[in-house]
Amino acid sequence: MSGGKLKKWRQLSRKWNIPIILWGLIALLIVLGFVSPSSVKPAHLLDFTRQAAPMILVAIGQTIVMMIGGLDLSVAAVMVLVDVAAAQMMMNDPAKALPVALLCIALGAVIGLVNGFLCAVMHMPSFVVTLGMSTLLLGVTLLYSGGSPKGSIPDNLRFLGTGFAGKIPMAAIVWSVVAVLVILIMKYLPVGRYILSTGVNPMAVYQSGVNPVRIQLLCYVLCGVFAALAGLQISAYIGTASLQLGEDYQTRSIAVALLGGAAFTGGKGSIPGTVLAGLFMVVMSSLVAVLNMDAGDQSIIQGVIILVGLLLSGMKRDD
Amino acid sequence: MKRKSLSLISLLLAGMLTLTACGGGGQKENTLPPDEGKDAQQGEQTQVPDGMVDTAQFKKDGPYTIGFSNISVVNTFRMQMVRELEAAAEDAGVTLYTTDAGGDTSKQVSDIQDLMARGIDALLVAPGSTTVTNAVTKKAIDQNIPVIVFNSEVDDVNAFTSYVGTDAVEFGYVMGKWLVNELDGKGNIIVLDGMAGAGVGEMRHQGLQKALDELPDGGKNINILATYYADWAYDKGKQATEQALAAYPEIDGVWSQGGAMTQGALEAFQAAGRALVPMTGEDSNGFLKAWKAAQGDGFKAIAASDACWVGRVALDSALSALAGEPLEKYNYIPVPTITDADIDQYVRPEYSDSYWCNTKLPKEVADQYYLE
Repeated sequence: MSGGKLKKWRQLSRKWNIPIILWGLIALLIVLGFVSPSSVKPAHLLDFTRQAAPMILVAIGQTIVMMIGGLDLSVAAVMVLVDVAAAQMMMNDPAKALPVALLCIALGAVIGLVNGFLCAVMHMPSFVVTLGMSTLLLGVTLLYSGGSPKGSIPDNLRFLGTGFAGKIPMAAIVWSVVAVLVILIMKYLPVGRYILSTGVNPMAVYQSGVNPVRIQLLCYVLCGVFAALAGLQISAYIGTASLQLGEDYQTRSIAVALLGGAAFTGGKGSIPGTVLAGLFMVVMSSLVAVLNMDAGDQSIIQGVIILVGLLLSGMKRDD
Repeated sequence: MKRKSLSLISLLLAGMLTLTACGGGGQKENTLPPDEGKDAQQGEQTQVPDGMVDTAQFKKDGPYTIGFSNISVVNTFRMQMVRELEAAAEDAGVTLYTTDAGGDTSKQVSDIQDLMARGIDALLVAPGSTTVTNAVTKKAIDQNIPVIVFNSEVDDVNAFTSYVGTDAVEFGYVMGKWLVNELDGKGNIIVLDGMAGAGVGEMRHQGLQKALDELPDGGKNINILATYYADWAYDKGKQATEQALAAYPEIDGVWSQGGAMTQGALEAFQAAGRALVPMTGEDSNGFLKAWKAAQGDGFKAIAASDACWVGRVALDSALSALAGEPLEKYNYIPVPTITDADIDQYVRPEYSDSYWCNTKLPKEVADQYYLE
């Protein structure tokens, strides 16, 4: 690819404020179409939007925390705890779906608040705090479930994970609604501006009359809430309690936020970018699988794709 | 503020140092000159037939205290394995000390040192690595503590007295053999593997390959469309199968090496409205319940089992060693299977998905943990 073309892409992206990862997503879909034409039929493209649901939800939270220069390594543990708690408390009873779901979201918020308190008020590094929280939650989950979780998710909640409205998966509607809400808040409410500037210069936020510690607390709480939502979404998808939910939500949610335009240094991040990056990850895993290679090659290809994606996303920020 | 966090961190560090110091002390007490014990052991080993181990050096009178070092319980199979062992220890009337390393192989080493410091008569190890625990278990053998390794192997024959477990290659082979029989040796299959690079997963896959190689045509007519690494997890098995269903119009069979993944695969086939094809799986109750429900739609399956009562066998081996009876060096349990013919004996609709059906757990214990 020539440098001139790349520059044009970047200008185009900047003009319309399009996350660069969109081009990566389109490129992956084109390659997938060549390798396995039936994988890009509309029905399966809609499958992708459903499969990406937990990742998109959890990565939105991760992006918000990364905007203030933090990191949350406890999201995967929150998801597992929520899944186990939801199945065990709902016990397939449709009447309990809503109250238990709300309880799970509140649980996510409380965990986020504790993370936020330790990071923002006690000034402990978020990496250590949330890693510790992750270990603690794993213990709580094991204790609560006795190591062999019980119960199942009633059909009304399962509908949100496996059902369809017409041809559109409900899961896609869930994350779309959530993402649009967050995008609107970030764009039109002052709090969006405060979150981004807390990551760059908390002093400036302070001088404009807002306590940056509160903004930080809010971000961690939101991250916990989104992790809980992602956990509920997985529960709805699989319908049962499992201690073995893909552990990679912890690290991959960070990769997705970075691919979407966030940075470890804070002050950056894009919700639309994160959403697209979540889809990017799902399409990538599908592509790597249909290439039918052995484990080592699959891993290398995934690594290369993620690195190239990060490189592309990073370029926008440099100039 | 800064100072507060500093003092917190130093407090943590101080705590960690104290703990480390205690661990170190335990180790020293147990250190014997390594040469003495080894010579004695090698001298005696020459008297027993090939493949057997002389255990005369371990012979002692009861009552016995047995130590069990487990690498982790972070999945339902291992959880039940521990419960089976606990029930077996109660049956046998021995005291059982259990440690759990939480997946940390180096912690498992200090766990074993702690158990030895407590004065155990025999050691059971479910190792998390083929190498890390070998040095410390050799020390145990030098102190005349028999070491029974189970569920997962170690690579140094001098680091254990006897091994008990199923053979992962046979596990995959049994499943593969059944599947190619169902397909008359021809057709398109997808493969749901565990974790990329994980020992057991690779060995089970080798078993599939062995079953294919054994076909008269060398497996030429079985076409593996795609191999997915779904981490033995339900959600990933389901996602992978959805992707496969979209990519391949004709799938004749699913070779999956994990029960939860197969449960996900079955659900994906049902959701897509595709005709159900033969699938392989494990003896997890969640899969068996789904399988039983789909039998009416012509669904056929086999469930291989890793025998979660393996700890029971390991405990028997330890007791034999303490009685001075010769032991097999490698005691491979033939892989038990569940088929369409006998699923009704195993499936437990009243229990949770996390229950493993090929079990010797007493009913009252199982009721306590798995009844929904």
